[in-house]
Amino acid sequence: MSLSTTGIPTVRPPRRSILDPVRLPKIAMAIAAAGFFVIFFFWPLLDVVLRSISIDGVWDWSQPQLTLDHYLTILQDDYLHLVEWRTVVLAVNSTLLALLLGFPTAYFISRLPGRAAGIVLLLILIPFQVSIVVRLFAVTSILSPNGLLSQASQALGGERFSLLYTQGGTLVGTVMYLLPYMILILYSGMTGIDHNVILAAKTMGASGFQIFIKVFLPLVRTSILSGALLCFILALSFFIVPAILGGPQEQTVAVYIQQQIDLFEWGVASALGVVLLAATLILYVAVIRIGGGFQAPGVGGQAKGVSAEQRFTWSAGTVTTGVLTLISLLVLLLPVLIVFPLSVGETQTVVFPPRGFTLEWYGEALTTDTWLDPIARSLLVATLTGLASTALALYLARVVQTAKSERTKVIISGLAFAPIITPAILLAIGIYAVELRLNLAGTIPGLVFAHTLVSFPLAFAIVNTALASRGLDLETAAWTMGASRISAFWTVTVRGMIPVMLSAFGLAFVTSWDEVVLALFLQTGPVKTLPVTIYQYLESGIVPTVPAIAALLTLLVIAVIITQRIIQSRRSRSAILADQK
Amino acid sequence: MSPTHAAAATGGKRGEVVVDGITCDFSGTRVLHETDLAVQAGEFFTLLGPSGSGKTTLLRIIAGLIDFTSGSVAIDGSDVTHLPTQQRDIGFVFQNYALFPHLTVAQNIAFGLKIRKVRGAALAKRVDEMLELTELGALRDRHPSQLSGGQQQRVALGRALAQRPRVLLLDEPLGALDRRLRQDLGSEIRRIQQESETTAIYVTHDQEEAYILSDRMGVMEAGYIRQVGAPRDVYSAPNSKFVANFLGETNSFGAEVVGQDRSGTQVRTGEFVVTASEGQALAVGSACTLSARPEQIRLSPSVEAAPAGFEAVARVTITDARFFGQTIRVRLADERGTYLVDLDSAEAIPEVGTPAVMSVRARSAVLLPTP
Repeated sequence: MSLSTTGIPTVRPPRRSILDPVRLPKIAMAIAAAGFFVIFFFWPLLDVVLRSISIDGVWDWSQPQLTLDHYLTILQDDYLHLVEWRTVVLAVNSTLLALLLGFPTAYFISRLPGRAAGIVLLLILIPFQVSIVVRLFAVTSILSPNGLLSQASQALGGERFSLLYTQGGTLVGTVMYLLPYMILILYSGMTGIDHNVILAAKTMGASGFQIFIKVFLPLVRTSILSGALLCFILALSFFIVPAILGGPQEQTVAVYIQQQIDLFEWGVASALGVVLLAATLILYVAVIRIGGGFQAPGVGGQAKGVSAEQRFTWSAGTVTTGVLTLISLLVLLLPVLIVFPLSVGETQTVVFPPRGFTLEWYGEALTTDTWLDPIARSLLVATLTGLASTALALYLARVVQTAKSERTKVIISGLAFAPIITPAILLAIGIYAVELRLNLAGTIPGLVFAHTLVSFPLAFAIVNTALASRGLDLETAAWTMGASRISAFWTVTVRGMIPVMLSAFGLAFVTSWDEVVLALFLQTGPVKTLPVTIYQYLESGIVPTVPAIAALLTLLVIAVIITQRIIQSRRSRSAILADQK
Repeated sequence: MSPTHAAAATGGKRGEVVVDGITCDFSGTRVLHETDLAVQAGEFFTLLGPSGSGKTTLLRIIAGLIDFTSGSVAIDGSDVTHLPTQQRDIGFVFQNYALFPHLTVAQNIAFGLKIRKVRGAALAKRVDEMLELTELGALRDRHPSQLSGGQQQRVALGRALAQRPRVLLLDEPLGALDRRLRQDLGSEIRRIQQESETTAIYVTHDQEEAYILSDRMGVMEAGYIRQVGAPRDVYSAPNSKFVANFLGETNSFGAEVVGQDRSGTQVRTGEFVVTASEGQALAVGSACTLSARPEQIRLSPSVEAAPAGFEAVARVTITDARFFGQTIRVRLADERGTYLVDLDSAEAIPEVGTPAVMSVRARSAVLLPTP
């Protein structure tokens, strides 16, 4: 995400005293935004750091007592060594696998003509947008002893086996989670290359292999490093998949942290959280240094396709990458598709293939409070989060765009992205500790604040890019026609950005709707949000309404994405028509 | 012997390009219709045409960058239709330059040489030569993003010429630059092409560029090459209404052929008879269009006052007259249409609304078949 800013010099209104009432709204907004950040981002981080160096993990301001015991435990404890080693191995392996599958897939899609590329991208975006707990449910039913894999093996004369609670199972689940990130980052890097550069190498006599090594790879290097870094960071502090697929035998650092918090052992848990954060930051800086920048995954995942001049041909390269693309699609789509047959079985236990056919579970899921309450709660939390995130994003983007000093711009946009780089498990325990003190834990506002922290960066990215590309020209034009600064902002800039604000809201809404880790920690009452409810069934045992809910959620994502695409293509078609007139 | 040494050995001009009956379709639309073209070795040839006329497509077909439907391409007498781009021994300058963003200026220039296994001192020498030729020595270690548009353009040129290609293909290389820089770099491209004794095929939509640079040019429209010739010949004797209009301003008069002799063709337009330049043989009595350039026309208050050597062609009214620096541009109209005349700026600016007689220099107007 490049943070381009307009750099159009704006005329400042005359300097007024800080106490001038005209400046009050501005100051109030600044204080609100800063306060939000301090309370829900800096304080939680500080709290975790302080706990990690206190005896018993409880910091006492009146009698501060420093200890490094918890860090020493991390270094010395044999069991923790095993957990740490397992975490790093999982992160390395899943990143490598994601790269091995993601690179050829992204390459293959980038070679396809526009329409076909769009369809394949859609097949990747749909599983990407389906909540991780839904996909996780599907994966458990594929990997279980009665699952698809085991049955396929038996049908081929092999043995009945289970990948649940094994390293292999955790790896499969993690790769499934990381793969879309990797593909989208690499794809946007590859389509960003000017095709003429490749042609230029051709005219100078370079063979296909030489072009790949000397031109193509160096040009996508930043994307490869960014993709690998993002996947590695995500995998390192990954919580949900190892917690369910790894089980107690295959604990990773994040799972261990959660277990310790459950036991009120804050010291070691906090120290591990700080170590995760440090590792993340070091990796992040390293990649920026080596790769010359960090490229976040494209939000839209638009298919660019190749021009009419470069026809798609089946060659050794496209056949190989095409086969690997099929494997990627299988890994991504199988868990999404299997929820449908699972949801229509008549039996009380969920089995594949389903026995009989019934839609009874859908009816039950949509009529009992077991599901209706979580759905209502999720809708409420996600709506409030969407509104708060969009407002905060608009305010910060505005500050960035009108800021005069380059440093202010960099600092604010850096701060805006900081929450999504921070490991979720660390934020979860930090915010949990802070909200316990503020009596916010377990309340809906408490969850909305926490979700806003992780949802608004994406909204900010969209709004900021849109504001930057619009520039201040239109607003300045409105000034020349006599509009006040405030009315010009609302009637020209905000009005014109309604589609952008809607997609920012949508993105924040979806982030909150799917969020599990924060919601798991911060909800203490009996009613939880929808993903957490599913997560708890995954822990305790599946009931037949779970696949029905999973299928409904998947259908919802498919419907939303396809509607979006139709609207988009309508718009671009009418744009083409307008051009022809 | 590698192609790099071939040039030095033969010393003569090379790079004759013959395009024979090329037809090209993009998703069902025909963008080139059985196009023929012969470019001589060492020639600077320009393909001139509006956007969408197929000139870039033709250039890319010569480079082997586009699959086409039928026809053949030959370079120096050997058929290269099925030869991949890599082996065609060409240089290509892209409109957006397409410099390798991860390589420095010197590395960009060295790229093709390294591919051809030129190493060590020979490589360094050739890169230095190219840097000197393109006057980029001081910038050799910069990356493309640190260069101005004109500098990038020179890198692209140096990179394309480094391996001594037989043919240099240029796709609107000056299109992204401002007018002043275009003129300077244009003459530089011409100089470098002459010094390196390479055939150049140059695509542009800018007629001035075409006039300044080319030995010969081809005017393209809608997938056809309409006319080929030296810039001056094509300008003064266009063979169609499209070419006449595309190359500068022109005035058209409906006319009818009344006679033909050795001095030219007499045509009647309205009440007047005018002698057109010799050219296309048209049967007496056939309808045609008389086309005259604005600078070949004079104005006078009456038919009798027309200057010597000029023949009256229409009675008109002056609708607009403006000072244009070197000329005075006068717009005129009669019941058949509107006209444009360029007068010497030393003359008085005519009064709007006054009647006048247009007369055209004898044997300068051309006849075009009426479609």
